[in-house]
Amino acid sequence: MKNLKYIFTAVCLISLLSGCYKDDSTSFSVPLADVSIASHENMPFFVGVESDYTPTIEWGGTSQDDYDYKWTLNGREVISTDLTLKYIFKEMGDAYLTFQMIDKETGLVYGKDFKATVTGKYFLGWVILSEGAGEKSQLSFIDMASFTSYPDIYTQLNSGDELGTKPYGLANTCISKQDQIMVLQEGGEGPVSLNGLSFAKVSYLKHEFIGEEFPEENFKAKYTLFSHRGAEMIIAESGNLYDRTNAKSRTSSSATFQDALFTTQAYPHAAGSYKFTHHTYPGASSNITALYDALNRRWLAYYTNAISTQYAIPALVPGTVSFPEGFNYCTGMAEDVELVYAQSNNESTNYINLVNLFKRGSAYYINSAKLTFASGTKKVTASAFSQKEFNTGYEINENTKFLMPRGTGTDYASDIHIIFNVGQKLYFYHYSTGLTYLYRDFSKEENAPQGDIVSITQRSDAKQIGVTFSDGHFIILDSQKAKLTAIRQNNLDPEDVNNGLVLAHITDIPGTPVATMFKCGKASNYTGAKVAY
Amino acid sequence: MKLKYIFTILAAAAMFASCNKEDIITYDNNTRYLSFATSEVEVSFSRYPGETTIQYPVVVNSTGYSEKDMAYTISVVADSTTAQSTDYAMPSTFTMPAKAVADTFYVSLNYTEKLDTETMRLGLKIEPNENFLEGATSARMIDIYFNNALSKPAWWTSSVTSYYLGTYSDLKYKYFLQVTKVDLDETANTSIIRHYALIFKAWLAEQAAAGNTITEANGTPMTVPAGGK
Repeated sequence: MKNLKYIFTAVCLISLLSGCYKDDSTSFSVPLADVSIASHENMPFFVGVESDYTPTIEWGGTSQDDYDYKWTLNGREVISTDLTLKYIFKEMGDAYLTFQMIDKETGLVYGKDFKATVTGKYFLGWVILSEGAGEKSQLSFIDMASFTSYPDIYTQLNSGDELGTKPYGLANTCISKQDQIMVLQEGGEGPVSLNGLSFAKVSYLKHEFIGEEFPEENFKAKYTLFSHRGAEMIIAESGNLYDRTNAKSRTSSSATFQDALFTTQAYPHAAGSYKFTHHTYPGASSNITALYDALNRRWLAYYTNAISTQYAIPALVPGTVSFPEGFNYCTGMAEDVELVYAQSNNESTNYINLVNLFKRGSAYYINSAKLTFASGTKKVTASAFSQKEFNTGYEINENTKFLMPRGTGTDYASDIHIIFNVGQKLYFYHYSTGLTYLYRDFSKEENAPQGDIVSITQRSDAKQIGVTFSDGHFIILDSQKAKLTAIRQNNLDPEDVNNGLVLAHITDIPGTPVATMFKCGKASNYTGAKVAY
Repeated sequence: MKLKYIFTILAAAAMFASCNKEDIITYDNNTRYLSFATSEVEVSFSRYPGETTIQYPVVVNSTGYSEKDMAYTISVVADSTTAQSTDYAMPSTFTMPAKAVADTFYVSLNYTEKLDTETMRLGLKIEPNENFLEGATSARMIDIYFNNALSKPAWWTSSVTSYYLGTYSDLKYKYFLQVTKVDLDETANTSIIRHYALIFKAWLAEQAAAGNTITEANGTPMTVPAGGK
């Protein structure tokens, strides 16, 4: 027992001694370089085109050669081992990229995730239709972001194929992720729709009618209206309306183009015959598209929000409005009142604000009214009417072009401005004050355009306008309301050619331009007055 | 010992019993079988306004094909036929064209006043001949019912009622057929149905404007919702 006690004590002592251990070792440490990779939201890439992107890196005393690189697509596929990513995306949409740089000496990895937005190269921008030699239709494109001009882009992208002849108009129709351009032309096979990404021909308008023939002899589609509320309309030169109904909202991911055929039966109007010559913006947020019946000198309205609620072009009723003598456009105006320009703004589901510019004798009048659809009576009622004499003293003539900037959620939604030209001078009229201001005098530009103004067109968000000249010049102006307000408040001198309002001056549009439009790219840009990729 | 013999006899009997000559059916690609594409149809003269004879197409399908024309035989089944011989006319010959696997022959159906109140039946049967045997049992015969009665067509769905043509009535359908002269079927898409509904609506409006308002049997004006109410 005694021996056992000694043995136990000895073991304990040994254990205690072994527990005391002086550690003179040093920990392993690597000097970390102060490297950082900058974020980049929604990097733009183009589908089908080799795009490159070099991340912005703070090297922290190291250099590019100190690292290996790796780009991984959607967490699965390594698509590059270079610092600069060069890659051809095969489809549009969002792509998630992981960038990694591996320190060759230590193996340490620095990384960053990026979200790339893959779109078409010609996704957003201005489209100008011209008539070239031999009455040929020529299409040109100006990129929204870079203002790069692509003259005669249809021929360039389609191996010299001819678009057609005798062009006169453009229309844009969108679904959730892409759009189509309709070229209105009298020659060739007539109006044709083009793919909005490749500019390749998709279908001829005549094939979109039941029976694949136009409904009238010498048929000419004056306007094509692609609403996002089910109805798509064609107003013929004859004034007849032909329509088709899409069951799906254009913003729906399941929406497709050409998903219904136009009827060859002119749309019936409950009150009898009509001849439509003007229209307002086809419904995006609104179910109402106002249509001017020149035969009866009145406004009617196409109303639908789906195939289930379609009304036979309701007539307008004046409600409590007291129109000035001769201006009652609900029941019919006086013979000497001529509609010059009309557009809607401040639209909501069941109402629009209708703005008209009328000419009577030598005077011009502008009026505004709210048109509201009542499902109970199935009538559209005018209210909140006001009218002012417009720009007495300005030499407005038949060559004057007008534009009322509009768009859901834009600064212009409820503040009426009318942009118009007299010769080479551009003005804007501010409805609430009744005053007119010089906006731009194009005759003072360097390399000033010599042709007439053919059209004034807005970008979908109304922050820029494009002015097209018959000599192939195209000038993009800053049209943010703040700029126009600055002019009104004498904080921006419109006479100063270097005042920053001109964002781009393009001079290489071929032929004689006949029409311009802003290509929205996708439905949500159209409906929401946006310019998102 | 005796048991041993019995067992031997039984085994031998079993062996003989299992030996049985049987002709095995082998694949014979020279034999062609013929069948009707459908076994029953109903044809109404009311869908062919103004017509007194309808050339009704009957489709027969064959297995395999031949490099030359081959005749086949169709007969009228008396037990399945209520139509008189004057109510219809059959082709004199039936020929499956060379390299074809289907053929269409036309039966002439003749209008008589009795079709306004009665439905006639014409039963046809495939008869085997030197070129073709009868196909599947269920497709060897076809019954063609014909009359001058209207009935709601399958394409007049609840959506068509709600959005395009409104509530079905025999009278509305009769006018629709008279005006549009089109016999739609289930393949008609909504664009087509809406198109003809608009044509019909325009006709109704024209009649009303001319003081001849078209009414339903109960005297209410006939209406069509297509293109708005």
